[in-house]
Amino acid sequence: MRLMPEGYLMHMVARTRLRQCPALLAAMACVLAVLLVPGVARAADAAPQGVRQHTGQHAGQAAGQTTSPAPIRIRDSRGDIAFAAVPRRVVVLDWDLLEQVLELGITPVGAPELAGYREWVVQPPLPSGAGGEPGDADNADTVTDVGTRAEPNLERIAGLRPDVILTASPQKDLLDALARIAPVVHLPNFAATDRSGEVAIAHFTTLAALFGRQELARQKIEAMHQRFAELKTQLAAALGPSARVLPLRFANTTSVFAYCENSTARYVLDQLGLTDALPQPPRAWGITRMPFKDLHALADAWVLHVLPFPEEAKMRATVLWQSMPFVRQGRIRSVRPVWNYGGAMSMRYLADAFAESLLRTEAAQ
Amino acid sequence: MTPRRLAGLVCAVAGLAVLHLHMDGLLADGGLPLTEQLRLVLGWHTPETFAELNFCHALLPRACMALLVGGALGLTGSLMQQLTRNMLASPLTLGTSSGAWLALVALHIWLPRHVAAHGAPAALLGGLLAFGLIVFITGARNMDGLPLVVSGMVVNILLGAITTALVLLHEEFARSVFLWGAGDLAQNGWQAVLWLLPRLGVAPVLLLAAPRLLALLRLGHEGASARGLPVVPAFLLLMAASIWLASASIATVGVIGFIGLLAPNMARSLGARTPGAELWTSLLLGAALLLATDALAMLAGTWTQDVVPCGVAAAALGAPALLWLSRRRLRAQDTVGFSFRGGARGRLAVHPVVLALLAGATVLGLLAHILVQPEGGAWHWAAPSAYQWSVRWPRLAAALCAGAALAVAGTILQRLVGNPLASPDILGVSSGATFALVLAGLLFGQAVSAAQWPVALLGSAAVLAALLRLGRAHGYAPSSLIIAGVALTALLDALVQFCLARGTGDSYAVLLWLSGSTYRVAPAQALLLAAGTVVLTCAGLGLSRWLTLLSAGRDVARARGLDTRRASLVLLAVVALTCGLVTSAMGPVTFVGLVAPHAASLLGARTARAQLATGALVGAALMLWADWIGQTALYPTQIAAGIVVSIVGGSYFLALMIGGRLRSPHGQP
Repeated sequence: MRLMPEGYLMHMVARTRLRQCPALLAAMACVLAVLLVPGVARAADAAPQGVRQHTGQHAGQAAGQTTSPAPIRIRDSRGDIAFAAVPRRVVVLDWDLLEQVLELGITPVGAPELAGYREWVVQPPLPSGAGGEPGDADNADTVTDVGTRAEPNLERIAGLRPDVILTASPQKDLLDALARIAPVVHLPNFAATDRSGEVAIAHFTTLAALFGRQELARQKIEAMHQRFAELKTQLAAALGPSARVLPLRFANTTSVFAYCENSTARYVLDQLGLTDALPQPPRAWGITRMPFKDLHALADAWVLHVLPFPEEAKMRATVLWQSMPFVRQGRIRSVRPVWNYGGAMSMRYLADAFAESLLRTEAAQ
Repeated sequence: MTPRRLAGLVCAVAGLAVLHLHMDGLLADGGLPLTEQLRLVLGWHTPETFAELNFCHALLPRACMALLVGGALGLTGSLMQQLTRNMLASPLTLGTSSGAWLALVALHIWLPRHVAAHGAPAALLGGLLAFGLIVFITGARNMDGLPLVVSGMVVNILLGAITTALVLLHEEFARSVFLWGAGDLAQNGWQAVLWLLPRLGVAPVLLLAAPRLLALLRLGHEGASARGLPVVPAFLLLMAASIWLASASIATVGVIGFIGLLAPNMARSLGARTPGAELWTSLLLGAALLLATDALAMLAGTWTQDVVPCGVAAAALGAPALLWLSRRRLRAQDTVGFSFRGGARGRLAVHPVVLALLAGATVLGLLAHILVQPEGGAWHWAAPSAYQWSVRWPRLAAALCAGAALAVAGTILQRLVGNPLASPDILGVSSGATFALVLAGLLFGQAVSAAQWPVALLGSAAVLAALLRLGRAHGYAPSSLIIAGVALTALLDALVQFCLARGTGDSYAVLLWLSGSTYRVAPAQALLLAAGTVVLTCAGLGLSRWLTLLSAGRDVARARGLDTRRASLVLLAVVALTCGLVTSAMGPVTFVGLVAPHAASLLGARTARAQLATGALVGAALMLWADWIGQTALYPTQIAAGIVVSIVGGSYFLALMIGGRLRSPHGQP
């Protein structure tokens, strides 16, 4: 038994005290309207900015330190930044930049996940005693742990009174929050569009310019290329010219992560005069997953698998492993654990590790 | 179920197995013709070329694995659904996958040397222990029906939160375990099949013995005991056997959902009526489903130039199938309906002292947030600096508002559904937000980040629209909507596992988002959330009369002149809007919407209005403290408030259930 719709509605309003209903609808409209505002505001934020000017040092920190009269100008992913003086107190928020800074002989006052860095990146080593509480933060030789890379502790960073904060892609959406503490230099890497090896070296040079260590950086890069050349000659002598090599990591016993064309591993291969046996199109983070059995078509190629691979012994026992051409030809080598998402100098360690594995004579398996 | 149909099913399984074996050859060059495959299988020909070796040592074991695992999951699913008399029970409902997942992650983090030798046994043990915990909670006497399913759900969320916290804190260690989580059937030898095969030896025994027991149990406990069946031991035995089967399967191949849920439902719709027929049909259907799914996974892997794990394919197929089933076959009585007995029955209003205590806890939480300085070795109280305040207030506001908003949404939903276990996050609106983010990340190659919250809101809105569209047919009966939410959540889980298994740094961002943290809440978002919370809470309070009427039953409400369809629609919209708002600000947060209304009613808030207000206070206090604990417990490292709340809320629930069991003589919580 239904009344006329309007009458029914009126009836219902009367019965259920629906006085709030129009208010409710209006309120919902308000919520939706408010939802849209920050989006617009964000779009406005994206306006291009000119050179960001920074004094470079905290007041009271500059006493007794020589400052170069010419302002330092560097270029990060967001444009030019000018510093009036070399920043002394540095907070680094990702491991690859931490590695770069340590290579430049700078000890940052804050860095993330120090225990993890020691476990996975290893080289270059952190100064001993790092990871202490910031009670001794004024001691320039101590690195303070600032939490995780994705969610660094903003309050602790602010407490360290940095002159500059170095950030990478995991901190992309924190730049505004960090900029309120100190000037932020954003140096991301490992996107699909980054040629990671070259980008890492460019970042190294940028950081060297920021810290006034261009000469040291130039020497280190030169030494690295010299090392590449030495290894290239050794490898050519041992394996013949442009030997075909496939570096990979095992995901489990049935699939592998192969390094893409934009990875640091590929950069190292190129530098060592080796040929990528199975080139993969560029991807973010430079790896792509593929079934292990797809490797059966690899003829006359070396396979380098990067450790750790806990199931290696189990894998070696399988028929499929033994039927792989590179296993039959004895052309598979394990590579000691290396960090694939490091800075410029990590590629030297990577090259050393690759060459060491390739030059290692191993009994036929 | 006629023998002819059964024979047809066997033929279908055989056909699918042949297709499965051919899939690899169809997709890549070097496939073997059928005659050649037959000669290899029969041993008339020794494998020499790679194609032959690949067939004998990769494809054949993979097909066998699909048959075994599919059959085991189908059988287990059928057994569990018959035992619990709940058509939504599945092998994964009862903690097996979350227990196994936690055990594996722990093994990878703390004992990486033992992964190769003890991975599968550890996962098996984890699954069994999780089930043991569930039995302990519900009590052996009370194993049928809903308490079991409910405690399974709670244990799943609790263990899942602990695992996520572990993974987030030990990212690099846990990376290699992700592929297992996605459920991959690929094999490179017979070891895994040979490991699993003896462990499935229970299955034939079950197939022979279970039908008689199940037929007796269908008579009900009294009827079964009258015919001389020791009900509790029989029930426990059957349940333990099926958990064993499910755990062994999951330990070998990883998490593959939906098969165990769908197979029995399909079996019943095919006409399997007797317990035995349902078991056999489910077994065959499970095998057929997994073979087909795995063939599709291989196909998808070739298309996308990636490894598509079978678990993802199963979820992608299973979620729509579940929705379809929910439209066709599931009625309200199949969903989880459950109520706690005991508690504060006598109290009809919230005692002022309790209210004062709650308010005190909230204020204390606020003060802790604002004034405690964990920096510099010794903690001390001090006014925050301007910068600290600018970092702290958005987080504080977000936690406070999210807690209150979710509690209000939870109260509304629980009263709307008439089910004290309904939680706003099971509507799938939060999952919709995450789903949109993850999908956008996959399609456009961006890392998931909080800056994309409009995408999250869009996802929530899309789910809400779909829910409302779907619900129109049922007069917005919430039970079917909840099934949709369950299906969507499971699909999301599979997608997230797939992203994690890609092994890149971006996958980690997905997990971070899923943990529900206030870390990235920007001031503008916090203000928005606050405004939204105020508006929605007022709306909830304003509509409390509808809730009172609806809690009295739909017929009563209708008789009192309430248009129940319209009321359901509006209330549902309020709930979904709240979820979307909170999720877009800080990611999915579970348990607050479940625990806060419940705690409010335990404290004596019986009327809708009182429950809304008290619940909001409880929720706000809970989130505030969870956020603060997360920020300070491992300082300077932070744990997301969402994880802390899941662990705290899950423990509260378990304690409540155990307490309820111990208090009542018959173990009925």
